[in-house]
Amino acid sequence: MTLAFVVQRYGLDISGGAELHCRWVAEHMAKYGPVEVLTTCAHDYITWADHYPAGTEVINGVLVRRFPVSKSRDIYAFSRLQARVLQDEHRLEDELAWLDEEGPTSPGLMAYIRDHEADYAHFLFFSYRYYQSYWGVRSVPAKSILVPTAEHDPVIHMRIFKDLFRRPKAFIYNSEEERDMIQALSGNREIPGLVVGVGTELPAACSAERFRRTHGLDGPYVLYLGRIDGNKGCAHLFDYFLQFKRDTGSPVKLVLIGSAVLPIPAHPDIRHLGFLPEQDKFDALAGAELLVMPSFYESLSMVTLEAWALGKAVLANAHCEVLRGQCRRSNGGLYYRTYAEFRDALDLLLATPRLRAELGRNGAAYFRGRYTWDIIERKYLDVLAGAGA
Amino acid sequence: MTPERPRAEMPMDKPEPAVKDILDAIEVDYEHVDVADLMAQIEKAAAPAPEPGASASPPAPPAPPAEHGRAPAPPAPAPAPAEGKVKLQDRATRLLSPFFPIMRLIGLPLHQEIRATQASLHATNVRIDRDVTAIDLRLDEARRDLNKTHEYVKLLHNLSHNLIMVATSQKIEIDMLKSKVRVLEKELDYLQKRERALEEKALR
Repeated sequence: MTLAFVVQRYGLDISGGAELHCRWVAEHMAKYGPVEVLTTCAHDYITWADHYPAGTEVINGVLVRRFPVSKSRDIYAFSRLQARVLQDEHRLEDELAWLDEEGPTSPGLMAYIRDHEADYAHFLFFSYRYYQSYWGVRSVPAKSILVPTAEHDPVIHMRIFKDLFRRPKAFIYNSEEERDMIQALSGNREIPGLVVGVGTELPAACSAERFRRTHGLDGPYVLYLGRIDGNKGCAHLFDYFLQFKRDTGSPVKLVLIGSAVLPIPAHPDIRHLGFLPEQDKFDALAGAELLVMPSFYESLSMVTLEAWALGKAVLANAHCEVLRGQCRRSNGGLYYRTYAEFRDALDLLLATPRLRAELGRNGAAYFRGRYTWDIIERKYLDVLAGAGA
Repeated sequence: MTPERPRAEMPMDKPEPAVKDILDAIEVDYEHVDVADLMAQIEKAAAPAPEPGASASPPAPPAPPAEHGRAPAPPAPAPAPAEGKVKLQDRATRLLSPFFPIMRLIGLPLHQEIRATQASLHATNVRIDRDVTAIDLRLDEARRDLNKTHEYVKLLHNLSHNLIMVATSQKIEIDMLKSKVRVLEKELDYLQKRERALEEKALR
């Protein structure tokens, strides 16, 4: 019987973490049986405005059914509601109103899930915090598997989610830390769940030289990959990096790849290259001394796994329990809480190539042992078998 | 990739011995790299220095002021001056050497004043650092207390909300039961009347 992947957005040009995660898993699971994706017509995660036409299309061999979004997000109303539910005493109705505003509100998608429950073996819902997961899991609890992709952000403490986490038939977690957090919040230990994560698509070959030549880069550099955003810890990264340069006089550069929603300090050793194709991203990783991951909230950092896949050491923000846990489990990276720790860890890593190489080797072994696609696929099959597929 | 470079050769515009000392103190077992162990060392090294009096080995006090009648340590020589400039300096030093005792005599109080001010500033800095750390700790505690109180208030709010809900539903049920009783009373009256009427009819 068909396996349904339910996600807020879906498309080749959508690079959001959970959406890409869903697409990769759906494409890989299509090897084992029919797979469909149930999603909305949205492309923009801020407004959820309809962008793709409603109806069906096939993307990389997977049938995608799109349903229109009934209302675009009013960002001001959303901000007011969010402030209310996170800071003030409020009722359950306020949280449900927040969820409606969070979107993407698609009654057509919900009606389809309800009406066609019998046509699907299981529904895999990606990202707990969106409309389709909350109402979808409630519509078909006996067939639902939730992939929460949860971070330690404040919305997870809302009452509606405590209830949500007690409903699915099974869970697929991204990390041990995510599982522990959700189990502690909702007390859902009796619901089966497996820590799986996601694999990554590595290019056949990477060329650091090509990257340096294309972008006119010389000398050592540390790399940041991802959206350049305050939420991702980039403001701290800039402060720490500039202070590090002042304190140590190191010639190292900071190379940033990703779209920027935060002003980037004008400094000759901070280079922002914008959004680059996948091949360039891996070339950049191949040439970097290490990857720096300053994010405070991650459910599973895919770029960290990509760095390890290429045998690169990582310097991560220890405030993010997932990143810290991954560094410790893999022995593939160092982490920092304060500027002093950032300075010492980065200085140690830059000064000792052997340590970087060892950390990179450990990271690569960790990646091969847990995140190659055959392992991920087998774990998904185990969860489906356990859930009665 | 950058070539392997010994740590001491890392180019630094502004050498910071503290950073280098810290890094030299970190021991890495390259055969079995253990991140937890490395991080424990880094965290220990990066932790702020203990306050004077708080530890058995307080930080070194500022250098003592120069003794009376003795010249303070000569300033460090300028980096790689030109040969002519050195000669000129030597000649000026020789020319001025008879006046050195007088210059020292004039300069000493000023020098002592500067050293005393430096010592005072250092002590103030240390005190401020200690106070800031203490305030941070207290702030953390207060924040934790506040969070606890916030959670408690939330619980109370939920509790009172639930109590109001229960009380309201009870009140509605009581009203409903009262109206049912009234209906039943009326029904009873009607049945009694009917009973009487039927009895009369039957007796007739």
